[in-house]
Amino acid sequence: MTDSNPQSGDVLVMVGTRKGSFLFWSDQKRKQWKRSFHHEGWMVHHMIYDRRNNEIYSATNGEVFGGLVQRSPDFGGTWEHHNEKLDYSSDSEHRVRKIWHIEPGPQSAPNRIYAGVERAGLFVSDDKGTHWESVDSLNNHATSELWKPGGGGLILHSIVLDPRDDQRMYVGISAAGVFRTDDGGKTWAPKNKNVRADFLSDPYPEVGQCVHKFTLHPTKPDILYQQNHCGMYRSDDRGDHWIDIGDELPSRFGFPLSIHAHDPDTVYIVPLVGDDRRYVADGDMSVWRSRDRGESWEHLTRGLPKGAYLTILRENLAVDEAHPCGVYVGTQTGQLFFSADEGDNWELMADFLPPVYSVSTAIIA
Amino acid sequence: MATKVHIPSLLRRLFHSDSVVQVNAASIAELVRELDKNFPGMAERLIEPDGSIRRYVNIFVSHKKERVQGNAGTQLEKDAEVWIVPNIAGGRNFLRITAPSTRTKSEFM
Repeated sequence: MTDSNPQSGDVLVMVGTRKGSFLFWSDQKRKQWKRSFHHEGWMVHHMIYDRRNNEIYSATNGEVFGGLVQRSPDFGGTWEHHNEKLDYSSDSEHRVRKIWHIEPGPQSAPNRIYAGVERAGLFVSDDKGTHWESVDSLNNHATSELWKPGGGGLILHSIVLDPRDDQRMYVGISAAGVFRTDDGGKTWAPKNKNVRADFLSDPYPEVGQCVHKFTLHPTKPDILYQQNHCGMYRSDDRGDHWIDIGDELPSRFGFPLSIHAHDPDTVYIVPLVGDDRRYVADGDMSVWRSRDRGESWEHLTRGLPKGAYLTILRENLAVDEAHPCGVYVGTQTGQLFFSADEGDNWELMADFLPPVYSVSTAIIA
Repeated sequence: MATKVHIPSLLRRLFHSDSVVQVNAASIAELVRELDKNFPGMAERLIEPDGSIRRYVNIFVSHKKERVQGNAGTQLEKDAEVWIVPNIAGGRNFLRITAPSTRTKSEFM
């Protein structure tokens, strides 16, 4: 690592775009950002910092040359990208076309990472991404014939680990819904009770819901939040039941979702006008914040543009762990908005980027 | 004589390869295996798990008039020159695609 690379304690912001990825970094004052450009020409659907090994992973995709997981041990100086068997077997009717999400495994397995892919499936590697195995218990689930593609394809895009229990894990599939395992991936159960699927003849099926993003906070891991195609939801019982918390919002539709780094009751979302429009309501770019687990919502607009019909995709809302908590939003038109004060005030951190596919953050170990 | 292989830009940047590399190969499958020895992971970018060439990857071979798609078993002559060309989507399909060395200017007009 050189002085021009991120240093221990820096805030790192990883931005995946349609034409490559950007790393932004700053000290925790977050006043002056440095940046570097990587993966030129490749689509980057997600990036994540693995604190266990001080490495970055990138979900890198090409329409022609397929999807691959890349790992950098030196903040983009070099990238390892040899992925063996990150695909369905030769006799399968399915192929891995894109990598949508990467998630570091538990502390007990320091080299384990998970990948969520299109055609929807979960893959696991125990050697930092060199060799992969299909999680067949999920990928060949009894309900898989009922899984239908959403607008982005049939994709597994959310992977959430329970930090208290290595045996419990959740995934989100569009359009199939949320699944949970309590036995380390041996079995998976759909967890979509009370979640609407307005586009189906049965609006409350066991599977078929179009989850767009879901997550939990590590200090309250029994509580899940879900932004769905058909509403904003919370579960207080690890996904067994879901509660509609979107009554005050301008739209039931939206993609991204993030929880405040230090306050598990504070949630951020960006509702969009639904279905075939998919931009912010009335061209009024705004982030919505709830400080009471979705019971009420605030409309955050200070510093954000009006007359801006922006689209914000599923991985495009992130928070950092600095004090106060920073919030970041990327747009499909190449803007990166930043708030250094938990969303009260916003500024344009970068513009004229390629369409932004993902924003994620870390404090460098 | 080794086969000259033209590497597309997206793979050149990924593998830090030259634009043209040389391998000894009697078929496309063998050519991909040789490329993978020099650039570990390149085979996964070119070949599906069932051994066929990835959809949207075109292989042009100097002694063949038509592009090769799918069939990695295609044989290569000793002095073959090979271009790996990604599909370009969009537009109307009014051009008859032929190997680069046999195209004439009028075919592009």
